[in-house]
Formats: sequence, C-alpha cells, structure tokens
Amino acid sequence: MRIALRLAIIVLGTTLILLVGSLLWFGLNPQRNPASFPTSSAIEPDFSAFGQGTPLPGYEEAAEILATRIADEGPFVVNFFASWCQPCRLEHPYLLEFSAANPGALIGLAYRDDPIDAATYLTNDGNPYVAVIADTGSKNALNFGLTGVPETYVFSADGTLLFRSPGPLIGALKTQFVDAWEAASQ
Amino acid sequence: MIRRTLWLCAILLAFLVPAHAQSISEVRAKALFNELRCVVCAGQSIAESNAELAQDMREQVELLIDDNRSDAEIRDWFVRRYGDAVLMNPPLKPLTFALWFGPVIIFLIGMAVTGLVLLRGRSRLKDKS
Repeated sequence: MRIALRLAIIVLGTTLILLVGSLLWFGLNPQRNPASFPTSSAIEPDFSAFGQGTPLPGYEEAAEILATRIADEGPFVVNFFASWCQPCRLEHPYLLEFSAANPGALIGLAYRDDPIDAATYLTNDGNPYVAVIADTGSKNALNFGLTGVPETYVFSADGTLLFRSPGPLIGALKTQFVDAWEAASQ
Repeated sequence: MIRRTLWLCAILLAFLVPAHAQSISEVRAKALFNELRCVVCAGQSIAESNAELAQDMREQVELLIDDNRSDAEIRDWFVRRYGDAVLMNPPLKPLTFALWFGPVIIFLIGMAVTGLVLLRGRSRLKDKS
C-alpha cells in the first residue's frame, strides 16, 4: 500500500514538473518571436483598401502603379515605413539592394506619416519602391494587421501571405525574408 | 429664491444630461473597446491605451458599428487580421485547452497529492497504535 502511494506521488510529481517545465521552456524561449502568437485562424491581409491613400508629392506615378501592381504577375513585397521611424533606416540600405536585384517587387506604404516628410525621406535616402503611397487614416495598416513600423509582408503571385517580418530586415528576420522571397519566386 | 433654485437645478441637469445621452452604438463601441487587445501594448485593451494603433483600432470599431456590423462580425474582422491574440478573452479551442483547463488540472493534481500525503499519515498513525 505504502509503495503504491509513494509511486503515485512520484508519477504525479514528475508529470507536474514536466508539464510546467515544458510550458516555461516554450513560453520563455528568448528566440521565440513575440509577434507570432499561436493562432488557429489563418491571418489574411485584406486588400480592399489597397491603392487608397495620399500620393507622395513628386511620387504621383508611383502611387498610380500601386493599384495595378498586385494584379500583375509575380510575387510582391509590401513594406510599411515612416520617415520618423528610426529602425526603418536600419533596413533601408537592404531595401535598396533588394529592389535593385528584384525591380518592380517592392511596394511601400508610409504609416502615420506626412506625405511631404515621406517624400523628402525617399528623395534624400533613396527610393526602393516601385509603388508608394501614404496610408492615410491607417486603413491598410489595420487591414494588414500592422503592429508597428517597419513591417514587411511577402506575398506569392496569387496574393497569399508567405512571410511577415514584424521588424527591420536585419539579422535573423532578413535571413527568413530572403528564404521566403526565394520560395515565392520559384 | 425659488427662481434661483430652479436655475441651479437647470444647470445641474445640464451636467447630467450628456452622461445619459449615450446611444446604443456608443455603448456597444465601449464594450468592444474592452474586449479588443492593443497589440503593441502590454496587456492593455484598446479602451485603456493611448497608443496610436489603439486610436486607429477604436476608430475602426466605430466605423464598423456605423456599417451595421454585429459585435461578432467586428470581433471576427480583427481576428482575421491580427489573430486570436487580439481578443482579451482567448477563445475556447483545442489549441487553448491547456490555457483554460491547465490551472484546474494542476489544482486537482495538487489536491490528489495532498490527499495521498494525509492518508499516508493517517495509516501510519494506525500502524503505531
């Protein structure tokens, strides 16, 4: 009887420790991306307001391309940025490099930014975007489930979301982005 | 004197009226603000947060209410874009069973262990006597 009790306590205790331990192991892992919450429903950006916004002064043509670009063939990338956003400057050299290698793939949306400020930023630092517009009223930000800037979305040719980078394309996020883009381009 | 009292009452009433003049959509909006999480804040609903994103989300809730969407449709609208994490109360799904029932299970295990330990103590006392 006593042995059975002791055995039961050991089994229960071990189960408990393993249960709590595994929860902590997964929950407190610093490598885990806090933006990727486990979710059972597929997150799908909504393109219903795509192309709506304020053209940046001097970039009116780039605003017109926006509406037709996603209907064209080929995968594409949507990047939310802002002239006031410091982390955006970290990824900016890579965005220029990416658009030079993949002309016509990168679409820019200025989040909560003055169109004049956004245009000045692109003129001074270089414009990586084939199509760009100021997301007035944050319509597209909400439709894309944006949490902050910069945020980058990789879409396949049919508009399926393949990858979402919840931060600047540097380090691990850049590696993941490159992999996703390669998969999209195949 | 009576006149003055009447005036005073009128002024006080004027303060009271706006508090009661809430439309149904305002009440619904407030309830939804408390149910939706500000996704960039630590554990705050969009009702509590002053973050720019929370402001945008509140405006969107009001727009959708004006568009005659039901509360469930509005919650769905946000879940489709932000995932389940946008809801302050996680939905009950197989994925969240551990979250909802984990504490109860751990409590039951604790009770079982306590019970076993107590039983063992009692049986020991019996052995001695």
